[in-house]
Amino acid sequence: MSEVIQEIARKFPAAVKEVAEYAGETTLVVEPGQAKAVLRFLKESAGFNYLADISSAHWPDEGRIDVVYLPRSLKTGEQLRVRAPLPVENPVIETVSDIWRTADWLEREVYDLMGVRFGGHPNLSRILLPEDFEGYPLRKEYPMEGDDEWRNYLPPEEKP
Amino acid sequence: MTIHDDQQLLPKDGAGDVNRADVERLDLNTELVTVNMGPQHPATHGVLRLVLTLDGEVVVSAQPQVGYLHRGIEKIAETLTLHQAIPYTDRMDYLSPISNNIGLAGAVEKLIQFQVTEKCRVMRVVCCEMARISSHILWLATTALDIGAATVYFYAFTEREKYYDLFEKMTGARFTVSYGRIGGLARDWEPGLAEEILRVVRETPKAIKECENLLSRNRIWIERNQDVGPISADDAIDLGLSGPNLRASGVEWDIRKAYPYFGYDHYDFEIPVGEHGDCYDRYLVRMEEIRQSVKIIEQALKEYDPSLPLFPQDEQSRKIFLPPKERVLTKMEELIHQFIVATEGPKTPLGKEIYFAIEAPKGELGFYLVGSGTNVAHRCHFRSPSFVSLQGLPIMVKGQMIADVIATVASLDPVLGEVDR
Amino acid sequence: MGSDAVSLDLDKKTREDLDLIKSGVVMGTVSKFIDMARKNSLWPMPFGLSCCAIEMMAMVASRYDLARFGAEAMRFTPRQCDLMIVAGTLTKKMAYAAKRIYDQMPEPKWVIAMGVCTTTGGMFNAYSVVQGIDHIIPVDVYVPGCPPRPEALIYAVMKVQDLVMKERWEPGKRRLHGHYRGRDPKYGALPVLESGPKVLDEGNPEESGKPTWRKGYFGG
Repeated sequence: MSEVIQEIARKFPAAVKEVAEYAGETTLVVEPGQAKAVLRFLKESAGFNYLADISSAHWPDEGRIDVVYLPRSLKTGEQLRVRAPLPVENPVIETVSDIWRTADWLEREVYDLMGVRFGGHPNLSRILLPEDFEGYPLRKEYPMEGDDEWRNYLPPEEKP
Repeated sequence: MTIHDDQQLLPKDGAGDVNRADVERLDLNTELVTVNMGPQHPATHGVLRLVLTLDGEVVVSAQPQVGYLHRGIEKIAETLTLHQAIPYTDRMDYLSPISNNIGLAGAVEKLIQFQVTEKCRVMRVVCCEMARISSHILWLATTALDIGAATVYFYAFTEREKYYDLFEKMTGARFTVSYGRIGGLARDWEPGLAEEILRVVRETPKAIKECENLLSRNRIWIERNQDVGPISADDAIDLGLSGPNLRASGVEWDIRKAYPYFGYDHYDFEIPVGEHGDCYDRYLVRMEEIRQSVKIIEQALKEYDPSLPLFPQDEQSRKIFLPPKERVLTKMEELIHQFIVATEGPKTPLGKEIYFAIEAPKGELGFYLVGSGTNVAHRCHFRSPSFVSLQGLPIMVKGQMIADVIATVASLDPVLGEVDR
Repeated sequence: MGSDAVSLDLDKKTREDLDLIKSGVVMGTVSKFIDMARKNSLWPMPFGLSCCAIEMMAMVASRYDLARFGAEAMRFTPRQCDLMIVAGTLTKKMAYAAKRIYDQMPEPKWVIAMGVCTTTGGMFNAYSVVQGIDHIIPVDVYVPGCPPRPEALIYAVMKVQDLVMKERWEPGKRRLHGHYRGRDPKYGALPVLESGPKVLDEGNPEESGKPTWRKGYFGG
């Protein structure tokens, strides 16, 4: 595991911001602009052929949204978490759906619920919620219930 | 291990086989038709909607539309304490609720760095494998019904009802059990339950064999399943398929072997692997998994010792889990303890993140938790296997007949509660 | 010994009735006969949405066997059915489909709301879940439970059968629909599709010219 991280640190000196260890898992915090290059390196040179998950987390106090990738090698069982912190005002990151096709829906889900936009995604649209839904429910400021939720939700018959 | 044997594979002579290449070659200059299948359709296993573009009967493209059962479980789980979030996991993969909430409990334990007792691990393994068996039995029932073998539906449900009875004896609930708890399980087993589990579980292979006798060499079943909805191993890995769907394509990958949890590495079992990645192989893999699960349960129940404690006994650990209910109602100290655990609960470390995956019946069920410094998770993301495997559907059904879409959707075993969360 | 040997103290009316029965005639009102026929030939439309659908399947399957109660002919097209069993959480995205399917069912029709999610939204008090299907369509029988046991659902089907008997068929009579919360101004009226039957007097498309949703529940 550490060889992979050392190699990433060597190849992308500006990318790695932090390496965290917890509960036997390694988290690599990378510069969002270089996240795709790091992930491409992991897939193509380090044998991480399987993308288990893409997730996200909103930190309103720090004003950032993390996008969390979980690439894995099915041959060796190695697993690495790559986390890219984005600014909450303009959360944009390049898509990885051309590296792993499974990222297509996973990124759409993150876009749908967290509002992170993935540049270059072939079909970046809402997946779980309807197209005309406003807001991103998994952000912390989104209300659990109340009048603010589900605005502009009109039946199909009344749409212009 | 391989799933095919000579007895199961019927040599195909091709008579009555629809030659799909012929259909394409006809070239009737037909117009493409878009057909909307779902969200209310008997064969979409819930509220899945498929937008199919058809050329005659051949599927040109299929676009799954999900979200008709999006209930905001992740958002709800982030507003509740982690103990309170457990019942919501029941409703995600509602064919095997028990493995879901044990999975969440395991994830929280990984986040707070807590070790459960040996007995608890054994019981969890038995519960998870029972969930796998009952889920696969239900899969068999619905898939056979979709393809037209209604008899199997009744045979399989007879068997599943026995598992419902066991769950009821174990947890008090028949279906949505909420049995997992952070640091252990909701309650200990009654005396004699282990023997009963063993008795029921040992009968299962016989019942499964009965269903297999109706299906495996059945002409219609083979025609409807073999070479239908195939996906190659490379595509399956690239698309992130997991569980039986991935293994049917020939990839020997199982979370129980790769990242053993709950002491799965102590048990001797094999991973059934298919060759062709078609519906028939997915069926064979699941049937073999039932037999392997029976093997695991038999081994686990040998290690089960009812005299051991379910929860760790030291003072530090007691802050994690609820005290037994009968003591709460009679003892002052336990009542206070219950109050503290229910209101405060285990504190999650701020900013620490973990990913904990279990091999659920549908595939890799992952829990991504981020600690918040309180008893509420800052982020609670569920990586559901069905969501990811549905993504492979367009590739599998492309160029197949429209009736094969039914068989392919059924063989993927999607549960929409888990897809949409 | 033939049947003549049985001698009972019967009044004249009963003896006449028995004679009629022997000759193949049963007396009664036609509507009662129709009620009995309708009661024991309910065709449920399983609107399985989530977890409850599995218990609904268990109800039809081998152990619980709904066929004992004459309502096992599950049809997945609403046009053939007269009893809609809504089993599971209804999300707002799915609400249109539910409403449309209800409208496609021919009159007379009954609705069972199975489980707490269908009844009130249940444990899912979230942004995407309709808090009770009776905001969308009228409900005749509610079944509590998360999910209810198959026995409970069988009991609900029997309750619907009781309702069928009580409501007494008459030519041209429209049946009273069950509990319907949608008229609550907070939640707005349900849309009446032009193709569907006119369930409610309010929001009648012929009066207003087009299908109406009163704003409120879905949009504010």
